[in-house]
Amino acid sequence: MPQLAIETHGLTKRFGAQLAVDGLDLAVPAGTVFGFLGPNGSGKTTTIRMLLGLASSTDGEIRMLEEAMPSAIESVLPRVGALVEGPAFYPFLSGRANLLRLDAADRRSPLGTRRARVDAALERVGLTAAARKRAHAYSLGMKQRLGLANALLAPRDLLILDEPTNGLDPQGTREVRAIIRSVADEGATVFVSSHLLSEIEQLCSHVAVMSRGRLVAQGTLQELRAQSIRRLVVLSPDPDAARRVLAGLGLAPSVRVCPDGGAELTAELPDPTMLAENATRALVEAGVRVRGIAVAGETLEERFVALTGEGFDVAG
Amino acid sequence: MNRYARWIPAVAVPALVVAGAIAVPAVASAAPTLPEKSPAQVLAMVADAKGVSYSGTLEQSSNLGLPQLPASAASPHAAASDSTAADLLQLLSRTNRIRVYVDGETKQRVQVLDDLAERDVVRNGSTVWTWDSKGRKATKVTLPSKGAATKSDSTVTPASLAAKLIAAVQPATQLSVSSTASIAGRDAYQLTMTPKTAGTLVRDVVLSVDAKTGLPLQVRVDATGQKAAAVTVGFTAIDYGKPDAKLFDFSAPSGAKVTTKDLSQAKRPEGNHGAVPQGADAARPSTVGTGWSTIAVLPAASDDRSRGLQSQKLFGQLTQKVAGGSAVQTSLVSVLFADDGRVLVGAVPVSALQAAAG
Amino acid sequence: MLLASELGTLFRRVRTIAMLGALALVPILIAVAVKVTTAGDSGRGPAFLDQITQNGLFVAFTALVVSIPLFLPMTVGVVAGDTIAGEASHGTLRYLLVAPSGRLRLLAVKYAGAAAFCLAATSVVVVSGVIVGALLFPVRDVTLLSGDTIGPGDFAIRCVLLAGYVVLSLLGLSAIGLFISTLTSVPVGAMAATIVLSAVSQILDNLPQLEAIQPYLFSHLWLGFGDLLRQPISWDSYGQNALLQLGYVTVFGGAAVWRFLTKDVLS
Ligand SMILES: Nc1ncnc2c1ncn2[C@@H]1O[C@H](COP(=O)(O)OP(=O)(O)OP(=O)(O)O)[C@@H](O)[C@H]1O
Ligand SMILES: [Mg+2]
Repeated sequence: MPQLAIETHGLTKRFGAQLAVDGLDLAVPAGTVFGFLGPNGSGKTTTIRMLLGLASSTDGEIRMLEEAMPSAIESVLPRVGALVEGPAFYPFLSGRANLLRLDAADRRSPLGTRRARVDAALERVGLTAAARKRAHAYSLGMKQRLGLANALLAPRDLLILDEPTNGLDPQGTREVRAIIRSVADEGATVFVSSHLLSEIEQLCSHVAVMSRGRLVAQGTLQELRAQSIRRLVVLSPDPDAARRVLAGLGLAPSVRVCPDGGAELTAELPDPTMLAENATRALVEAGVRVRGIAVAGETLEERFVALTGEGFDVAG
Repeated sequence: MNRYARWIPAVAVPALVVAGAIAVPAVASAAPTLPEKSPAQVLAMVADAKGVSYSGTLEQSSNLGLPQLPASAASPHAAASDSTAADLLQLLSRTNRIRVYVDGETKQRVQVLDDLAERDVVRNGSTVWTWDSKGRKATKVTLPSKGAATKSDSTVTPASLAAKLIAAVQPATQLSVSSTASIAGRDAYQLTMTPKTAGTLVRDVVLSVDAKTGLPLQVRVDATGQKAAAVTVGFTAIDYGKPDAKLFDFSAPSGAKVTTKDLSQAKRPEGNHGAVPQGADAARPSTVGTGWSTIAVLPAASDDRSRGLQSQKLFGQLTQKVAGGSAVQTSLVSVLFADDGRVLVGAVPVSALQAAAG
Repeated sequence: MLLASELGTLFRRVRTIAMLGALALVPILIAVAVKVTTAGDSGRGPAFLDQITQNGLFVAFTALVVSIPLFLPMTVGVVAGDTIAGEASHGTLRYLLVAPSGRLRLLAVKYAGAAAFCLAATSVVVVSGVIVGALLFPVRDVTLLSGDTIGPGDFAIRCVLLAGYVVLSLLGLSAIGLFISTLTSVPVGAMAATIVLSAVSQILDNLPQLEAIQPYLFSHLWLGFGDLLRQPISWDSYGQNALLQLGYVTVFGGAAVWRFLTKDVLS
């Protein structure tokens, strides 16, 4: 079993009567880029707050970088860079002064390298030119970059990024992706939350899907794709015969009569071991004429809509 | 949640400190055990205590059941005479801090510590300075060089108050050494004086005397009608070292209004303690009754003075209309301003004053 | 390190500088007003006012007397009320905690920052008062409340003690502000509540009906620094005030610790 960078068991957070996070069992393998996907209000930020010790959990356990949280918060968090619910800064300080202050907040961060590290982080997110500007004069995208620079102030074993590309232009989005990849290439684990599937698809090797506070799927992207429901589509001018054959195989096809006299039979393939070629042979052996036969996979997006039960842009 | 549990000491420790700070002094002031002494022996110690050197802080508090007045009554904007009356009232109704420095019989300094102000009496041999920081007023009095030590001021120290009490009330008073106490960190005998008559408002007077030096450390007067002490004057801290000689070396600061009085040739007016300089035309007071229930009757003063007094706002707030005049009833003393202008004062109920007024 | 950063952030902030500047104006205004009004209207106004013309050293004292009831508590209320709530409203609180600053350490640093502001605010009034007093009026030996006279050197020592007393007086209020600040993420609310409490405490201190509780009000000994102008200095009110303020710091500091250590940071 691979080492886990983040591991939760039955993690639960209750706000009054509302369960914001409900029995979460996360397993984030070390060294991966892990996507944390869910519609608005599904509990992503709340989970991240609990991981970072900002909010206490109502129930459940958290282990991060092999240590129990939040009891080991002092030794774990210096190894973790984070962006939580958007960047936040002192508007009256320059971008650089903001980073100097946040770096000073960590007792273990070495004073000697502070300036160099701050400048390197600013350089990495492309803010060197705007470093001396006051943060209140920053655009949304500049703030987002500064927030990312803060997460990268020191070499980290784990990055926890809550919607890191929020407010960035396409160019900025690509740069952030490049930064995340470079961090991952250095061996760090990256945990990225997003409500955008496309982003996760481009960036992540693993993914977990949240819906209304519950984890509805977790695994590699491939596993998730494999899990998606496949359908057998048969085009035949003999719909009744075809239906009998397919029913004999245990399928429940729906029939749509085409205007040309033929019919399209669609059946879900519940069993991944059930191969389309078996169906083909059975149809041929029964003398059913077949115009076309295909296995249609769900798109990942359709899969997620099916999992979360709603569009990604619908508040939960 | 248990990550927070380790911070419990951060809350618990200060809480314990506070609890300790409250509890420890309470334990420390438990009554000491001292060899038994009779009232006479204790009084002898007091008489013996002349010439001690010490410095200390006293606290004087009264609980006379006077009506409470808003602090604004004492504001500098009030009429001058009204504010003097309010000053006096303040002296009676709130806690006053007093510092005393005594170096034997001839060098004394008394400081009444007011808020951002101070009144001083400094005696150095035959020179006595008084100083009032509010008006920046200083008075220099030269005492008769050979005269006996004159108590130059009405300021109350335990020593002066105790001596006066003992002389005045012994015939009518039951004396007992009831218990011991710790006052200002000193072991002390408590001499209780209980009036033999029931006609007075005074329940008892308790004098606490330093068991080692014989210095009176505290005087407490209890009234019949209430549990809390009516008047308490006592040391909160005392140090038997010789005070710094510079303290008695007073001279008027520059810019002060200085009055000079030379009494070195003058005869001391008899029967007058010199505390309150009285108008030349003031008639002598007479007394009715004896002992604790003595009533002083002050004859009608020159009219404008008493009318001036009665027209003041404070007067109305303090007095009640009774048959035959207006009266002030405190838990310890009653005053009757009779309609004919006489003023009757005594440690008795108002009814007794009315009876004496006739 | 965090403390240095906190102080740097606090004292480089325009708001802080503006408040200190306003406090520096108090003695200047007093001194100029006394200088231009030729008719000495003695007996009215705050303590020591009538002595300024004779001795410029009293400008600092008068300015403190004037500042204690309102200006100092107001500025301290702003800083103390802003400590945690201000960070929460900027959202920087979560980044400080994730850094990680440690909750207790952050709270301690925040309180130290507020205390440093108390010191700065008081010092500004005293220093500005001494300077403007020396410029506009003669400097002479100082007459104490006790009537004794001391030289300017001794007076300087007493000024330092006085500043210490006023700082001490404000520590309890700072702890109250810190506690209120942990209750909310709206800094203006915490500031206003702290300032209002300081006013309420002073009002209660003037109601004779409440005499029993007055010794426990945190503002009860605010004007007790007169004891430093006596000869010899009376340390009674210094000690009592220290105990009183320690009590407030313990109780409200403890409450702030308890609250902040268990608080969910959701801003
Ligand atoms: N402070 C709070 N008090 C009460 N409920 C809250 C609080 N914060 C969040 N919630 C609730 O918890 C649920 C999860 O919120 P959360 O912020 O974790 O969602 P999210 O997945 O991060 O959404 P988004 O994609 O919009 O950022 C929501 O229903 C929200 O209303
Ligand atoms: Mg969110």
